[in-house]
Amino acid sequence: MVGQQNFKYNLKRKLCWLTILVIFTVGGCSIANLPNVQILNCPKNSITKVAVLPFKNNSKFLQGGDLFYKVFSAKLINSHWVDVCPEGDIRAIYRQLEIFPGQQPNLQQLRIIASRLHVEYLILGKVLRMEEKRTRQGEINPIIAVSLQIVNGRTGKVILVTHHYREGESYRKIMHFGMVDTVTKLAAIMSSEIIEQWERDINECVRK
Amino acid sequence: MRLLKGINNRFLLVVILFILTLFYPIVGLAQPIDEVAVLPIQDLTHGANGVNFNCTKLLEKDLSIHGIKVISDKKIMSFLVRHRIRWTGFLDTYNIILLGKELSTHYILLGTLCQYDNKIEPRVGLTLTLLNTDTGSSIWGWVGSLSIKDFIHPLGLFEPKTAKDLLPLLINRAIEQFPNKFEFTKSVCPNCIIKNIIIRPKYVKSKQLVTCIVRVNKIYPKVFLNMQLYLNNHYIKLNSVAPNKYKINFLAPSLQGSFPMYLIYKINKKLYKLYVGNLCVDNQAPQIRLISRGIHIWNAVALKKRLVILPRLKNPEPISRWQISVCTLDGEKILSQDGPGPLPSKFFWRGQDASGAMVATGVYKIVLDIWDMAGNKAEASIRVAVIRTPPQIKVSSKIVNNKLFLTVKNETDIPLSFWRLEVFENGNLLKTEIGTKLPVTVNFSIPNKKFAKLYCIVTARDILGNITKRKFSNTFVFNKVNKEKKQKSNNGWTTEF
Repeated sequence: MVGQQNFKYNLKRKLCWLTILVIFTVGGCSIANLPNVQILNCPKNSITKVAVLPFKNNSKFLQGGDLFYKVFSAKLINSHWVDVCPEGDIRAIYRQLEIFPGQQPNLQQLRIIASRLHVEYLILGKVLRMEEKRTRQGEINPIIAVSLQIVNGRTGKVILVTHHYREGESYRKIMHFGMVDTVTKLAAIMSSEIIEQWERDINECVRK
Repeated sequence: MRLLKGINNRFLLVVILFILTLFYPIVGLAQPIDEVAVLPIQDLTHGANGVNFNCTKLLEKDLSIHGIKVISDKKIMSFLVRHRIRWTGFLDTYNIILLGKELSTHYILLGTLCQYDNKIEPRVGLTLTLLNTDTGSSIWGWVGSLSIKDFIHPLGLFEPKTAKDLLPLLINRAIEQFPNKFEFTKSVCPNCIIKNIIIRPKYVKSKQLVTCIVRVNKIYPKVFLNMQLYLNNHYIKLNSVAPNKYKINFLAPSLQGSFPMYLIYKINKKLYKLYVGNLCVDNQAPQIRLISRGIHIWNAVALKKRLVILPRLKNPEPISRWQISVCTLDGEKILSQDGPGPLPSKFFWRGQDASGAMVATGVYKIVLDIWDMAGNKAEASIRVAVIRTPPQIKVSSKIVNNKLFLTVKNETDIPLSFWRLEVFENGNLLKTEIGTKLPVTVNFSIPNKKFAKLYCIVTARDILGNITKRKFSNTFVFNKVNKEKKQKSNNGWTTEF
């Protein structure tokens, strides 16, 4: 009897270990991290209208800054969290202030842009890394690292800073399912994650 | 009674309609999206200014299939050409509203083809933005992408193989999520009133003339603009000089400092205050000095291979332009270079003139002139000594007690960094001495052979890098040896004594 009980106990233990093994091997350990958001100066009221300034491209991916800018703007418009200024208005002021492509505006120029567009907050961004790596299995693994910040257009103070890094592999579930294999798709997912996190954090901060 | 009732009903209807018209701009109305102007799709794969007309046509075709009327390409292209819009990224609120008015549409669809790649694995990426032409606001955004891995069928049938096959599928997905209606509010758009603001110059001296020009978009003809510039607690009214142009020339404040400027105007009794930049009044020339580390000779910094000159501003400020020149002490300019701001962190001089030839030995003056943004000039100079003469080495000899004493001297003022003396006898090295300071005396025994060929080679380098190498032949040594022998014989001394 004792022997039978021990056998059952051992079988249960083995099954338990097997289940854990299956979960980790099939599912992988791809627990994706949330965007790293740091609020430096909490806004007094909730954000209603923003201008997304053209992103700087520090990566080797051609038009990487423009790609992430377009995707982020489209996602921000669709989130209905804030009103977004048309790109053309921003580009027109950039032309008037002689801010060349790839350049970031200085503090005085930021104040002028915010005032001319009638917005209180500006979103600045940099694409630090964007590439499409090939895995050993011949799959494409896109990688994106971005750094974004919200700046108060009146004072020039940085409201929050966000750093986000993701790989297409991070979203793999089983086999190739869930794997993100285009830069556009990864940029869209990352943009949604950043916007959701911003909305949550800023609303929490304003309520306090 | 019936008539009264009828009047009352009519009256009520009029009142309701009146209230509705009053609240129309605030409440907003749901409007079906049944007509759209599709602007040429941007193509990032062909650079920042790339356009993809194939994608635009596919999008238009799909919208028409889903029952949404599409404005013709010709009308859109005509509008873009007339308003000189080469790229849809430059479509601002004013042009959006204007496009809506000219083409009688409430919606514009903008798109960007982010990816269109057939190289490794065919894939496409697209973003779409729907704009409302009444307010110029963005109302819908969509992002999508597809790769061939998204279409793996069990038997490999009907699988897309290229990006060209993927694009219609992606567009179809986008149109499926296209909004049916949109609630909008009609209001005056403050963004699109001001076309541009020019204030020049922004850095001035006291009481200098400043010009402010404001160009406006006459999109709302009934809007009356009373433009004023607010500066240093003063309101300066702008005059209407042309239909859409306001201008004023005014004198800068006499006080020094940075003054924020605001453009103030009213639209429908609502006051708008725009920050347009700062006016910097500056009457003081920047304070600058030149630093150059090195050896000081003749009250000047000595030039070695090259001279590094570091300009240092006491109170750093933006510089509009600079000019550096090398002059002789008589004031003759031998080299000059200038450039726009900002000021370079370092300057180098290799001792050459404008033609590239090395300058002669002497003292020169390097002068740096800078102008700040307001036009105030500052000057700084530094003296540089150029010494091209190598060390002048002299060797003298003396024989005492059958020993030869060689004295090596440097006849120039420039200290030496290194010297070497090599004494040879019949081509064989007899003695080597190395040092850093001169004069020095070296002694060694005279070789026994009467007619031994003695000579020495002296190499010396001064601290500025000038090198000399001289050979001193044996004649002087033997002359002295012979003379000494003669002197000894004259004295009557004999070797046997």
